[in-house]
Order: sequence, then C-alpha cells, then structure tokens
Amino acid sequence: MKKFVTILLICTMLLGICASYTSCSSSDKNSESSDKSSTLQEDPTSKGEVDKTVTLTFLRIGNDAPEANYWKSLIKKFEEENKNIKIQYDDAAIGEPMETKLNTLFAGGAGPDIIGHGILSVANRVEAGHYVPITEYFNQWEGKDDIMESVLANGTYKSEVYGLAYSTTPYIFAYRKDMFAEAGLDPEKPPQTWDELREYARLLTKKEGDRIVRAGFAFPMAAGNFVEFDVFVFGNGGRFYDDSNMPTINTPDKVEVFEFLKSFIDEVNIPYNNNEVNPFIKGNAAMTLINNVALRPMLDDPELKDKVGVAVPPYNKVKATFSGCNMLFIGRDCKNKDEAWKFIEAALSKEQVLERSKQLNIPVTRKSLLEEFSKLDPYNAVRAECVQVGIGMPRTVWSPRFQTIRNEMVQKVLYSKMSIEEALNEAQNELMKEINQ
Amino acid sequence: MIRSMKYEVKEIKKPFPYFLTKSPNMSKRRISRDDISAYIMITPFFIFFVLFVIVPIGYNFVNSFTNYNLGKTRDFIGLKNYINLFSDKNFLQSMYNTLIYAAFSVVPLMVLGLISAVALNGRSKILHVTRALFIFPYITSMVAVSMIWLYLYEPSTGVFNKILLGLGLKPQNWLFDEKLALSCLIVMNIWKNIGYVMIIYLAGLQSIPQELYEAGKVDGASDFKMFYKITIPMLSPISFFIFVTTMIEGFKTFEQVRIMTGGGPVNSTTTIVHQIYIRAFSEYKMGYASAMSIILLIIIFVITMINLKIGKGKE
Amino acid sequence: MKEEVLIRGKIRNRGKIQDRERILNQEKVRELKALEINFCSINGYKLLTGTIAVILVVLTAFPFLIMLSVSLQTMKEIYAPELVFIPEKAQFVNYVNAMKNGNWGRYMFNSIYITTIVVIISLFINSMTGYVFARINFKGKNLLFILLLVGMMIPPQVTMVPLFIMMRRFPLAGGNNIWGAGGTGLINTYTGLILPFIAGSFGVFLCRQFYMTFPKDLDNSALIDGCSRFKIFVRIYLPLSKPVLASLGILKFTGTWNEYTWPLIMTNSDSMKTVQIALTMFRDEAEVIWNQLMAATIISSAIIYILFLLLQKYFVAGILAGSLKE
Repeated sequence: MKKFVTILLICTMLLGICASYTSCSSSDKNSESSDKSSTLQEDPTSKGEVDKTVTLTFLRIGNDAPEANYWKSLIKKFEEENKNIKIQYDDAAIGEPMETKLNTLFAGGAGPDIIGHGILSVANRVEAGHYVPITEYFNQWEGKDDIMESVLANGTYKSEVYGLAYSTTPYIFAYRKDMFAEAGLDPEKPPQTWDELREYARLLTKKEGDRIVRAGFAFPMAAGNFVEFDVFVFGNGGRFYDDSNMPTINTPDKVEVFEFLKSFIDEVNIPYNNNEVNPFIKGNAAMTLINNVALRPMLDDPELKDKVGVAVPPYNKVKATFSGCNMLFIGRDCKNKDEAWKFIEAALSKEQVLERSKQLNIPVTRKSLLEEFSKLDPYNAVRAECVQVGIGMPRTVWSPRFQTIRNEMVQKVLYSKMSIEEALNEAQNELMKEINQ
Repeated sequence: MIRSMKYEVKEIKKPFPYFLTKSPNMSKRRISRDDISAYIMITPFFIFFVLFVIVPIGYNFVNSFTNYNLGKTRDFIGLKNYINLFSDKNFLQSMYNTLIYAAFSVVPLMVLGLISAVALNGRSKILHVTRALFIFPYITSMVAVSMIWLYLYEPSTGVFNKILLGLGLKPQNWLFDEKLALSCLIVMNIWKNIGYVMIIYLAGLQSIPQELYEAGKVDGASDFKMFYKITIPMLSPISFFIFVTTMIEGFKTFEQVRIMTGGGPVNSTTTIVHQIYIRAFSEYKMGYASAMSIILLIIIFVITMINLKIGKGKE
Repeated sequence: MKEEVLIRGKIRNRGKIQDRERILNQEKVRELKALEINFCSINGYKLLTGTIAVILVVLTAFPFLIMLSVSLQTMKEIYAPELVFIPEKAQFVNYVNAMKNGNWGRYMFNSIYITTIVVIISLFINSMTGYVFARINFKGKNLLFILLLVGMMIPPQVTMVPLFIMMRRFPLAGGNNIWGAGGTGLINTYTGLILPFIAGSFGVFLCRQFYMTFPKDLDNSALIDGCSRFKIFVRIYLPLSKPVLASLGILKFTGTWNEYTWPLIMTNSDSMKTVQIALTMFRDEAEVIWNQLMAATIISSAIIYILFLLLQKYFVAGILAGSLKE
C-alpha cells in the first residue's frame, strides 16, 4: 500500500510538471488556455492602449464536432483578419447543459461576450438583463434588409433587436419513396392534407401480430420540446399567444389537432423520444416530421439518399411548420461590444452563410442567397420554403413555462389521461397562474 | 453449544454503537487534550467542507425565501415559495415518484449487494474476474449507461421486447408506458449501483474477525446461521452507511430521468431533483427551486434520523 | 515537559506496535490458508450465494457486451431495423476515429490529473476525520456529524451557482484582488475543478462507519501508553485500512472521473475540458454517433478499470485477524 501511494504521488507530481509545461508550450503556440488568462488579467489596465489584444469569449449551443470545426475555422480566419481580437471559443451540448452553464456564468457575473443560443432564451434573458440590445449596430449593418423577416422576428423583442440568426432548423416532412412505391402510392406525391396523411399512414404501417414493426407515421410520445405538435397547430392556422402576448391554449384549433392525432396515431406509430433517434432514421418508419439537420445521416448515405423524400409538412388550413433558430447575442458582461459586433458581422456575411449551408446543410437566412442555395441541393428548395413559412417558439417571458406545460398537456392527451378540453383548459389556467404571479 | 456463540456475538456487539452516542456528562465536561487533538485532526477537512459545502447550502437556504431569477431580481418574499410548493401538482407528483424510486431501489440494492459481496469474497482467480465484471456498470458514466438501456428498452427493436416475443409474451412499450416507466428506471438503477454496494460490503467483510466464524464452526452452526448471527450484525455500521448513501442517491436521481424519459410519460417519472432542475435552469426560478431542495433535505434528514433511532432501539 | 513525556511514550510504543503488527501478519497468513480451504468445500449456502452471483454477473455483463458490440459496428448496422449483435466486420477504426474527434490526449490528461489529486488528498483527510468521528468523544461531535450528513443531502444543482460565484470571487487568484474582484478567479483552472470534490463528506462518513467496526481495544492500550491520537491513527489505523481505502479510492475516483456538470461550467477552453465533456461531442440534435461514443466510453472507463484491477487484492485482504484475542 505504501509503495502504491508513493508511486501515485510521484505520478501526480510528474503530471503536474507536464501540466505546467504543456500550458506553457500551448501559450507559445498562441493557443487558448494560459494565453487567455494572461490577457484577461491585463484587461483592466489595457483599456487605454489601442493596440492591445481584446479577448472575447464565445459560447455556442451544441457541441457536435462538425459545427464546432466550422466555428473554429471561422474564428481562425477572423483572427487573421483582425489581429487585435482573440476569440475564445466554447460550447455546451443542447438543452440542459447549455442552460446550466449559461445561467451559472451569468449568475456569477462571468457571462460570455458573444452567445449563440435559441429563440426560447430571448424574452427571459432580455428581462433578466443577460442580453443587450444590438439595434444600433443592426441599423448600420449592410445585411439589414437582406435578412428574412420571419428569421429577423425571432431575435426581436419589444421592438429592439437582440439576436441575429446564424442557423435555422425547420422541421420538415420526410418520407420513404421506396416504401411509398411498395404500398402503391406515388413516390413523388407526398401527402399534402391531414386526411391524406392519415390515409397514407395507415397504408404504410406494417404489423407482426399486435406489434407495429414499421410505423406509417412516427410521432414522438416523449419529448424535451414537443414541436411536432406545434407543426400541426400552425398548419391548422393556430397560435399559442395573441397580439398582447397572452397565452391562447384552449382554442378550437388545438382541439381539432388533438382530435386528428388521436384518430390514428395509436394505430400507426412506434413511440420514441424526440431527444433520441427517430425511428425514421433507423428505417422503421415511412413518414415523420423531423429536424432538418437530423436527416443528415440518411442523406449522406449513398444507398438511402434517393429513397428519402422531403416536403413541407401536410397542413389543414395554412402552409406552416415549426422552425427553430439559433442566434448570436451580445452578453451583459461584454466590455468590448464593437469587437463583438465585428465578429457577429463576420459570421453573418453572405460568404459565411453560404459556407454554413454547404458544410452543415443549414438553410440560408439571407434573401439574396436563396437562388444560389436552391441550386446547391435538390432538397434545398423545400428547406428554404420551410424556413419561410416557419414559426418559432413564443417569445414571451412565460415561454419556458409554456414549454413544460405544453409537453405535459400533449402527453396527457396522447396517453388518454385527460379529455382534450380538460387538458387544454388546465394548460391555459396553469399559464395564466404563472403570468399573474 | 449455540448458546456460547450467542454470548460471543453479544459481547462483540457492545463496542459498536453505530447510533449517535452521548456520554451523560459530556456537555458539562471541560475540553480535554483528546478534544484538542480531535479538533486539530478534523480541521483540514472542515476547512474545505465548510467553505465549499456548507456556505453554498446556506446561500441556497437564503435563496429559498427570495424570488431569485439568476438575474437582477432577488427580493425577499418570505414563505411564499414554500406555500406555493404545496399546491404545485408536479412537485407533489415528483415527491411521490421519488419516494417510490428510493424505496424500491434501496432494499433490493442492499440485499443483492450483500449477497454478491459474500459470494465474491475470496482470493481465487475466478472471483477476481467476476468482481471486475460486476463493477463495470458502476464505473461507467450514467450517460453511457442510460444510452445502453434506451437501446434495450426500445419498443420496436429493443432487446427486452425481443425476449418477450421469444417467450410468447406481449411486447411492452417500457419507457413509453406510464405504468412501467418508473419501474424501468428503478431496474436500471439497481443494475448500475449493485457494484457500489458490493465494493463497500466487501471491504466491510474484511474487518470481521475470522475467529467468530471458527468459533461458530466449532459450535456446529450452519453457514446460514453464521451469516445471520455474525455477518449481518457485524456489518451493521456498514449497512447503515449503505442505506443512507443509496437512499440519498435515490432521492437525488436526476441524470437518468433527464436522458431517458424527460420526466414523462405524463410526469410519471419526474423526480424532485428533475423538478428542481427544470424550475431553476429552464424557468429561471432559482428561489423556488431552492425551496424544493430544502424540502428534499428535510425529507432525507428525517428518514436518516428515524433510521438512527431504530438502530438505537435495537441495541 | 509534555513533549518529553510524549516522546518517551512514542519510543516505548514503537516496539509494541511493531510487535502487534508482526503478530497480526502471522495470524493473517494462517487465516488466509484456512479461508482457501473453506472455499473448496461446497455446501448449500455457497451454492445459493454462488448461483445468485452468477445470475447477477450474467445480467451485468450483458449490457456491457452490447456496448462492446455497438462500438465495433458501422452506423448502418446500428441503424438497421433489426438489432445486430455481432458486427459483420469488427470496426476497430471506430476507436481510432473517436480519439481523433477532438484533443483526447489533453482531455484524458486533465481528467487523470484532477482525479488523482482529488483522490490522494481526500483519502488522507477523509480517513483522518473519519477516525476522529469514530473514536474520539469530543465536544460538538454529534452536531458536526449531523452537519456532515446534511452536506450530502443537498442536490448539487442548487449549490452550483453559489459555488461558482465563490470560485470567481476567490481572493488573489486569476487576477483577483484581496476582496476577490477584478479577475476571473479560479474559473478555468485546475484548482477550481479540484477544490469542491475534496470537500465532499461522503468519504468521512464511509471511514467513520468502517472504523466503528474495529475493536476499541486498538486504541485503549496505545492510549494508556501515552500515544497521541494522530500517532494511533497513522501507526495503527492506517495500516489496517487497506480495504476501506481501496474502496474509497475507487468510489472517489469514479465519482470525480464521471462528474460532468461542474467541469462543464468551470471550464471555458478546449484545453481544460475533461473526458466526460468530450463524450457529449458524439451527440447533437441531429444524430448520435453511437459507435464512436461507445468506443470512447469504453476507453474512458478502462482507466478506472485498470485502477480497480490494481487495487483488487486489497479488497479481500483480511485485516483484523487475531486482534480480538488480546
């Protein structure tokens, strides 16, 4: 035992020496770690001097390698062009990790300078003072009139611009052409209306005894955010809030959506959690609603590429879908806003928008690029259309609570725990209670 | 013969009061040399402990009386958070779920863990390998473990449904069935933590003097009898430890809920910490979440103290 | 004056303690021999516990095998409509690709460094504190013990924010002045990652419960000889603590190694990230790269595994043989 502890101690000491050595050498190579802390330490004194380097921290939602690599290469390019600015890149996985990290950083007064985050964060973080308005910068921006209105609206709150989109994630309708053909349906004609969807779903479902082995239409039964439900609500001309930003949950259009879903989902569905892999990706479903980027693994597969079709989701009254949106914000604790804006400008330049759509399949957000974007890929026209008819999460202070309550409500109805009216009323009341508090 | 063994066990039990002891004149007596050395020896630990555990808990306690939103707002609102808690349906549901989860995790864990520790106590090569296999779920991170189990529970292609079909039974929706989901999580929790219980019991078994077993053998006691009369009483401080820690872990369950069910279906798997998490970090209501954590603390505290009292009563 | 007495006591004691240890060792050897013989004789009790253990082992091993299998499959096999158990061709390239996804050498190093320091420091201070709580009846003991337990009962989700604020406001660190303002404090430093882990009271509780199973005679004779408490702890208790220290080491190592949230919020550069944060890189809203994720998980768990194998012999080393006869 003694020997063991001694060995451990020696190892630790060696490791410590290595650590100090590697961080030294990394600072030589102009890499992040120790270099950053030294510039930060000098920060207060450096304000007066012009040619001092400014270090900006940038925290992005999502930490997948492809997108991280894209941002790292952009930062490298940006730093070469702006020698006095250093960007310290950081990211956190979507959902809980990002929220935890960002909230803690802000609570500790160490919020990032630039933040890449979604719509849901806007109202609350503006109210909490985490984001600062960038309207002034925006008004002088060359791309001011080029950005799509539906996209720009996502980052606007109380007539101030806070965030500008760098990526949109519309939900698209995906279907299997080969399965359509097998069931005697026209592979080039995806369902357009709710009735068609129901009919096709029944035709495409495969059963072995009682067990559904292939879902005609895959719909999540558990979710971090039930946006698949929203797609149907929007397609039925519904919304979750009125002009005065008050919730409107218990309206007839939602009753119709629920009635429609309940009329066939149980017969055609393989339940899944929309945080996990959609059965469609595994080839266990013929149709589904899916996040545009989530289709990437299928479209990258040469064998499956031609068997997958995409379309705007079937609708009842209005052509619409859900479209998520990640935007760049400037944080409260940012001391060098001009430099931060410079980076945002660079990230939203035409060249970079196009680059992202090429590398990451992200639809463009600038109108002037639409044509070029559609040429890049046969599916891009659909993607672009989905962005244009896309509606996001509500931008109100109660939207985080809305997410929880809506998820619960959908589950209560789908699992037949409550009647449709009861569930809708309960959700409305809960939200009103929240607002009145 | 048996009587003599009993006597021995009794005598050994004496020096192990695993409840809180208090000598009668303790509060009156002066600080002795022993006390001073005790204080010196616990100082290094308590510096860390007070700074990094107690101070944040105190801060959190203060928060529970405010409407802190992780931003500008942090006003004192008295007991409002606590009052609201008891009309919060989701919180009450989560309390119920957590109690079920903890209760049905702790007992099987302790029983199975003890049995496997006894079975795997020895020095042969096979036992070395088996122990190594046993510990695997415990050392693997919860994220990876949850993903494996998602794979197993999958309704259409998952392994469990394959097995049920093979046996001619009706396949289940597992995590998508509000009656089964919580049990699914409990099973996974037992699977994951059995290695933890085993390791601690194994270490505990090493400090039982072999003489006791030898004496028992001489007296002609069967192995079962010795297990019951020697092993279990001798391990009681360890069992107390395992009970308290597995219970606390059960009550603090969060990660597997977050990854595997998100609290659903219809809140049937949401736990207290999951609610705390949602309130604090998705809904920016740190004050409210702090109040929940204080309630959680009180529940765990009461259960622990009851356990201490029962232990005392037995003596 | 006092010191003289102490030193004399120590000298007198050393001989006794060594004597005791020698006797203990002899007894131990005898016991082990007896144990081995015991193991060979099979009876109902052993059969029952053995069977249960075998069943449990099969159950524990099964998901592990799935993990191993997934780590060797292609993504196509993983997404196949029917479950694949044995990959057509073992894709060892997944392991290579997983390690290329980010700076894994650095992540491993960070995790190992942090964890090793945490384990070494906490093994010592936890066992010492545990000894005091188990054996000395000092004033305020019950209150402090309850405080220890309370420290384990609060979920980390609510203490994270205050802890983070404290780390940022840590005086004289990371450019902070004496009042803890001005700089970044301990954010993005090893110290900031290590400190909260050392503070956990879990280890103290564990050691206390173990030392309570030791016979009290161990202390008494040494105390009569004038041995100091610290000396008793170092000379008598520590050498007998192999099983508990081995378990605590494994548990603490696992806990620290698998911690995700604290490193997530405390680090803000790639060079400070730990293995657990890196593991989430295989997952985004688009897809989960299962095979690489499982490969990386197996590699990261392998470190704890190796440690476990190294420490295994201590788990089954009988410790108190013979001490009761005195």
